[in-house]
Amino acid sequence: MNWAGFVFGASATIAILGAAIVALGRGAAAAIAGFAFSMVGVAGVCLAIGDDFLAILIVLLLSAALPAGLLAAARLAPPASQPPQRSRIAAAVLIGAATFVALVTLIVRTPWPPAGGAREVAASWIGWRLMTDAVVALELVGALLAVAALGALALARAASRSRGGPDHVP
Amino acid sequence: MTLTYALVVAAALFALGLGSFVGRRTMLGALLAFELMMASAILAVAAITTLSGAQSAQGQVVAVVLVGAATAAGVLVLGAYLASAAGDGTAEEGAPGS
Repeated sequence: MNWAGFVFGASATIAILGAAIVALGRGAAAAIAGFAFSMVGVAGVCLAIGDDFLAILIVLLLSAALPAGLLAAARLAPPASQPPQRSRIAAAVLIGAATFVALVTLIVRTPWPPAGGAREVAASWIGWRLMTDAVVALELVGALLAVAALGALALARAASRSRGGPDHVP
Repeated sequence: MTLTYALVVAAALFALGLGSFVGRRTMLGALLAFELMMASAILAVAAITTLSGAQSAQGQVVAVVLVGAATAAGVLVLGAYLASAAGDGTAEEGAPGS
């Protein structure tokens, strides 16, 4: 096994273990930690297949920034703990297993095109694409993030006013 | 390393995210499950475009857009969660030191 294969195997294991913690872990903190763990694994898989830029982006946004915000929210307002229902858990396991089997069958049966041509995965290539062909998409993503942040602020402000003052904003 | 292995990992993440989405009843749990499914989509796009060798950079641009969309959705749901918690009064009750 070469270095990329080792990184891929270890990262895939981490990603799936983290996702299993999200699905099965008890408590918000465990689920958020599992999510961050899983995103580190996803970033490792991206690194192993050669997508360095994407791996850095996933580590910064999905593995660090988002879990940090979620953890702060869970500390400020812990979600109500409800006893798990067996029927709901059984339905979740059944749906998850059926989806996995269906997707793997589809993946195995699909005739994927063989690898060919030059791989354009260097950061300079991505930057060039983002600044030329995909500049509209880049601007739209920036606008989407700004609107989401403003929307979150507006929601928190509205809730604060309905409670009687800015001190109630978590 | 083949495309099939990477896609199987993405499929496992999607299945776990979907199962978690069905099984969890809190907003934070649903958000985490949704983000897992988004991550599986990002991984699938990156793997297909990179390992099939065609238009890799274009595929990475799509993956970057998906990362941005996943983050935006997370920020928005986080704001909604905190707003609903502030409305219920659980934010003050659950805050450290209260």
